[in-house]
Amino acid sequence: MENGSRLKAYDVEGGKLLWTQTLGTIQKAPLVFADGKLYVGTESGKFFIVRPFADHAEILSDVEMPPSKDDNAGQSAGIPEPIFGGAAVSRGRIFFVSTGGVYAIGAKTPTKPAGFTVDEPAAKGEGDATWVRVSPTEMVLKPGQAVKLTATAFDRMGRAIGPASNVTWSLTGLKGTVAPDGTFTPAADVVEQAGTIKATAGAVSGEARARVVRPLPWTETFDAMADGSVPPGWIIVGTAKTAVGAIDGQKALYKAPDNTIFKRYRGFVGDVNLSDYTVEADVRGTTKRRQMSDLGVTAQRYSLILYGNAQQMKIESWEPETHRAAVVPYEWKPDTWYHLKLRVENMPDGKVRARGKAWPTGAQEPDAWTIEKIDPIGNHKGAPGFFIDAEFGAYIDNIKVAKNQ
Amino acid sequence: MKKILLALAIVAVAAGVFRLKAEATGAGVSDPGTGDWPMWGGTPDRNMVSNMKGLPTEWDVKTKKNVKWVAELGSQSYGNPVVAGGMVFVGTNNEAMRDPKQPGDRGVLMAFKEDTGEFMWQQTHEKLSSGRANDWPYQGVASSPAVEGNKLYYVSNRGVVWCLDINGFADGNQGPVKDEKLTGPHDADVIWSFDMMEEVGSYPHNLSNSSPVIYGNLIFVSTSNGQDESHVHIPSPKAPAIIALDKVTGELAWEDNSVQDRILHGQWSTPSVGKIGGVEQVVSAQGDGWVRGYDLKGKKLWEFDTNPKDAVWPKTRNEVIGTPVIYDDKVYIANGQDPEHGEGVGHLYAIDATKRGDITQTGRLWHYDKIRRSISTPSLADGLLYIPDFSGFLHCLDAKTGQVYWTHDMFAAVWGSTMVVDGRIYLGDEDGDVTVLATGKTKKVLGEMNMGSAVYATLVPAHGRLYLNNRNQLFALSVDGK
Repeated sequence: MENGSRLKAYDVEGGKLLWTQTLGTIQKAPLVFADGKLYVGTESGKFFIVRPFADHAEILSDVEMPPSKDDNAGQSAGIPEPIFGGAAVSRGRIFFVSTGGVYAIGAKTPTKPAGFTVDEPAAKGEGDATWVRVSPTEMVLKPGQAVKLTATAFDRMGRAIGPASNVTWSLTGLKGTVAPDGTFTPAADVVEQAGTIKATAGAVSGEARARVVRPLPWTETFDAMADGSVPPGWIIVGTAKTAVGAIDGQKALYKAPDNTIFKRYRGFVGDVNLSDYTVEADVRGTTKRRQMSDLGVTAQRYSLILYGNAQQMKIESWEPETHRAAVVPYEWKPDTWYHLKLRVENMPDGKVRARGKAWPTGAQEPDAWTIEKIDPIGNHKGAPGFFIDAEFGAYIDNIKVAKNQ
Repeated sequence: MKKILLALAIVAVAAGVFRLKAEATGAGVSDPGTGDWPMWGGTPDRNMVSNMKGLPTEWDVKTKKNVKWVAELGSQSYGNPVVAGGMVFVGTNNEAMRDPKQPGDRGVLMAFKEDTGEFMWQQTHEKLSSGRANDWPYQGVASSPAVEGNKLYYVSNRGVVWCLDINGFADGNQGPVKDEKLTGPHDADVIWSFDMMEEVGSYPHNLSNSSPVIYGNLIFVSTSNGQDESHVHIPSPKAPAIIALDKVTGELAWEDNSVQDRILHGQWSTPSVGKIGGVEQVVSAQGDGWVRGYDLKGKKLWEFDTNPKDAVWPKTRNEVIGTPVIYDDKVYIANGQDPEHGEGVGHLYAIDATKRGDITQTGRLWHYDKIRRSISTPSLADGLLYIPDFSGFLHCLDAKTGQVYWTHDMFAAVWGSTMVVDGRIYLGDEDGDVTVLATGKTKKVLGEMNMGSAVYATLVPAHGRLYLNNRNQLFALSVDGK
């Protein structure tokens, strides 16, 4: 099937085009061949059964789907239900899905299957090892928290040979120790670090990655960090051109002007399993080309964000789900520091409550929360972080994460 | 019966010629009258019709029958050719690199000699580093230029409106811009440029594509301002949907942002200009699915919602990508969606643009809802309206009543528009087929020719030839190689 919904048959040997049969206008669904016939639906909303011959196609059945119903819009007059997916064949019947429903055609009662295809057992590796897998491969650890790593050798076909032999272990970017048995223990006196643990077995090797994250509560003012440095293990931050820099004689985390896809990103810091905590930070936006930054903090997969152009404050877990966002008007200015505070709590009834407030940095904290979202099917855990959408640059400072009081 | 139809056709053509002469200085002309085709739609009213004669009705790109010349373009060409000053201008990408000093993915505007297809000069534009959000890879220059005298205007893939000298540097370096880096015989002579992203804050969604329209001392351009890649967020809600520039200086004359943050997706429709009820108007379809009319000084005269009130984006609510056509004191427009969104329901309207204010109810002369999503621009000729939809159906309606006379299934997606000329309708489709039909209330297919690659463009008549680009080639078609 072509994207233009023309069915074409080719000679398997020479690739010679045998015939072309137009079925519709635009095509997404693949062909399924069964019982000597081709089964296929089109985006134009028809389902076809076609018998292929060496020199032509015979259309055995050509059924237009019913008009699409769109309950959200209250409109019934639509186009025939488009078919995007391939058909499935089972026990003498054909199943397919349109945008409006699941359809089955064929016998009223299923026929008995004539045989089964059974998965073969995984093949055993053989010969020289070409790769070493270190497991677990991705880790989030606390300072001093030991973890046992295993190294497994694989052959050139990707088949497991068995435990790698004569393994030597080494660390990159991490302070700590690895015992000969693979036990990695990060240094207890380094609160935050990130890097890789490498297992070398002869000529081949493999790596695991670890982030060591600080226990709550913590505060980061960036004052002790070098200009241009990126805090270790802060996810996406470095890639998104964000690093320690100075403004008005004070160090902060600076997001440099950037019009790539990383102008807008979420940075994550620390343990993904945290819950019931409060994140605070100072943020400062910019304005250019009539556009102002959007800045926020994240806790437990909820973000409290100040939107610049819209002059709004929102709590949202995913921006495209606009119907699930809490929104209030909030006036704020570029080139000015604001303090954000977001508290997320797991409620006894299983719901999750997120509350936020913002005020000009240095002013007194308002007593009341400004915005609240109760999520009936909530996110129960997630890493702290922040949100930046700033093509023309932005600052974030004094990040503070603490268990809810 | 055939004789009667033929007689009617002759009368209709005569009426067309009369109209051309009677309004040669006005806005109702739907043919440039010079043999050129100097802009998208030929004239500011954008009506896809021509009074030209003697154009080919059949050709064969394999045997070169009725093919005058073929010029190589890049790998994707979404703009439409225009013909003026003895040259053909068309936007494409840089996959047929003409200058090794300008490598990589770029938007390219190319100029060819009209008689021979000889490559004359080009201007190229590197892609924006913001990538897909503002400037989709390999889409090239998708704006169709507008030419007046020796000056050519178009919008680059970087959202910059350019004014160039069509003769390049052959007649010296025209200013005020005189510091061009590339000044070879095949490079472009820049007169001025206006960066819509820098100057009015446009944040184009996927691509800037507007085809400028010139009227009086002004050029009108839509900004393509839209969403970012999140597809919910409008990064620049204070940027205008449409701007007017002084055609001599490139300075901003006026702007309008009635849409604000209500942009559904992007803003890829291109403005039209014409006299409606004695008033010269700029008509612009915008990102909220509304069409708006302005006087030449930028005062908003009317606005019209092309979606039913209960429609839901993106299921049943549409944006507008096709161009509004001004004909017989009315505006004709269909709505639709980005081809990536697939097929769906559409709406076609005839609007009485002599009304003022919100004319969604008062200005709706008729509404045709049997069209699918369409990104095409209609042709209006002899009281009939022809328009294809993205699902590949060509519709023929009564322009006065909206009554449908016939539809034709092209069996392929249609991105381009009909061209009505000399009693025939020409229409290309994504399968690369160009279908030729007879005009009139009865459907009659005259022929179908394949161009070897998808046709996203519209056929252009000029000086007795038809010009058409598929994705990677520009064809000049003429009877017996004239």
